[in-house]
Amino acid sequence: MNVNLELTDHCNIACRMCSQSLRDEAHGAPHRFMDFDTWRRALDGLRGLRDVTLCPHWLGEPTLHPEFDRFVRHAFEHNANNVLFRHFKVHTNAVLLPPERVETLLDVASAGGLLPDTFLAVHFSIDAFARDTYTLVKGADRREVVFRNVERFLSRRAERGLRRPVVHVAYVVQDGNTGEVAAFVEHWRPRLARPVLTADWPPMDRDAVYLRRWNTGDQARADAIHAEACRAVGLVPVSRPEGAF
Amino acid sequence: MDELDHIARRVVEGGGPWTIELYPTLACNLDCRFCDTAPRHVKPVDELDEAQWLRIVDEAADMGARRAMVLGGGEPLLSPHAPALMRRIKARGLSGMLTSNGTLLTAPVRALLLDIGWDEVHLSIDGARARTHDALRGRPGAFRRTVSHACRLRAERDQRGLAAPRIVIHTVLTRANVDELAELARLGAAVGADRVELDALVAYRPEQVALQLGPAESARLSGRVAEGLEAAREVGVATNYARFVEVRVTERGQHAPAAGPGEGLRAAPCLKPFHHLAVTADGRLSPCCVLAGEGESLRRRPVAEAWAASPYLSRLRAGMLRGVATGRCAECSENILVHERAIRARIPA
Repeated sequence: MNVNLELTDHCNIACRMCSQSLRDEAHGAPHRFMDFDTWRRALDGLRGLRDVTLCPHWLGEPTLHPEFDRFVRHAFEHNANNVLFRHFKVHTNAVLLPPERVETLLDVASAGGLLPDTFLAVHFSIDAFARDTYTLVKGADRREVVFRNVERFLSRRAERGLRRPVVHVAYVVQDGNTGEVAAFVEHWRPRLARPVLTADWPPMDRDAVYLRRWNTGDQARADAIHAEACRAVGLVPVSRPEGAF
Repeated sequence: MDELDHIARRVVEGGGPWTIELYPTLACNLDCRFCDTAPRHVKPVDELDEAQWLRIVDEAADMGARRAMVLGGGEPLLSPHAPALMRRIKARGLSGMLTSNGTLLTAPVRALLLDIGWDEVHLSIDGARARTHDALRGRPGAFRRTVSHACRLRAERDQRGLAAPRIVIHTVLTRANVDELAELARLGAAVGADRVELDALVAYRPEQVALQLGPAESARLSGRVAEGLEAAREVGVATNYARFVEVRVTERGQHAPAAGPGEGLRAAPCLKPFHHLAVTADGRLSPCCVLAGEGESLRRRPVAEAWAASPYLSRLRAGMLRGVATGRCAECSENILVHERAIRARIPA
């Protein structure tokens, strides 16, 4: 069971394909930050549930929460023997990933008293390769800092000898970024650990470059753009049952 | 007039071959469980050199050949002569069809196919799942390479705004993949194939017989074909699945092709000896893949002379005109026999 506890519905960039960016009020109410007591009580409420995968995000950017590191450390410190959650996943745009935060995430990933694959994955939503394209797609000129942050995360994970969390670098294929899919793949593939290239939800036991379908009003056209981009890098562009294709 | 009319006229008027079918090498980089080419993993010996292959293409083109198939025995792209051969085929204005396992369809090969205007590429994919295909093809990773290359070929074709080469997924139907026909259609659409085609297995050796459809698989074949057709319709990919709704079609080797209803050419169970010339890697001729290597060598003999005076071809033609196929003709594929019957139907009484 996935449990999304949304630390915030604020975001620091404005991806043009994201519903959060299209509305002033993502949930029909002003953007907010979760308070620590709500987080603590929500975590306590997970006790006794089976096979929970905890995700501290939904529509917003979780690392924008001013106490993101504290919240994450608290969750792991109270999860001895995985009594609260079996797995943990983070989706982030990686704009706010300073060295201290990298260490926090890698510390909890390697914490004792938990099953070794508790911290499953970090999903980095990147969606572009060139700076101009990043600015166009993400609505912010943050390409350089994002690439630096993700590369630093990968380096530190390797230096610490950790296999977890696996890293997925995601790319929503859409108008304006189709021309640099190959460059994106070529950039990230050698930096990841035994990565797969996938057009479907990435496996949770491997790093992955994930070419994601764009959800939009003209879905047939979006699918065609996605298919063409996937084929260009030798990737079958469809969802399929496990084991097929 | 369509192509079948032209071929029928060629047969009646006694011209040269309409189609040449060339096997540049017996060598192969895979190890398919159903393969009959015993020497596929030894260094090729006695294979034609590049000049001989180009001469054969030129001579056949001079005789009016319009179509060239470059295919197996082995994997044609393993032949160092394949690029020059394909270039010459297109330079002489023939329609070109390549059948390959797809693992060697690398960027330079794809660029060549697009540059020269190659017409059709058949990629052998024997399962919708990597484990099915790789088990049949005897090489882990073969599926991933072939599918990846197929995707890239389609993307590069689209980037150039071309309609060719058409991409065809070619699947030998076995008990290992009979339940994957719907998934194969979806795979075909996903990689951007223009068609997905089944062919029946020829089984002589125990490992081949083990792959034949058994009673259980035969019993569910029509249902699997129906599922496959529905999937193909949904994703918009053409197939020849409907032909395989009959179990009889899968029984290669058990049914001799029937004589036609008329006399002479209209009696012929097959007209290939009159319009089709296959040449094996060592230069021996035949009218088709089933009889590959049975005839005389073209190594030192002009194509026109061999086509007109080959005792082997003459014997076959005489038999066909009497309505009698060879014993091995029972091994022929229904995909081919459909074509032959259609040509025969266009021959005037």
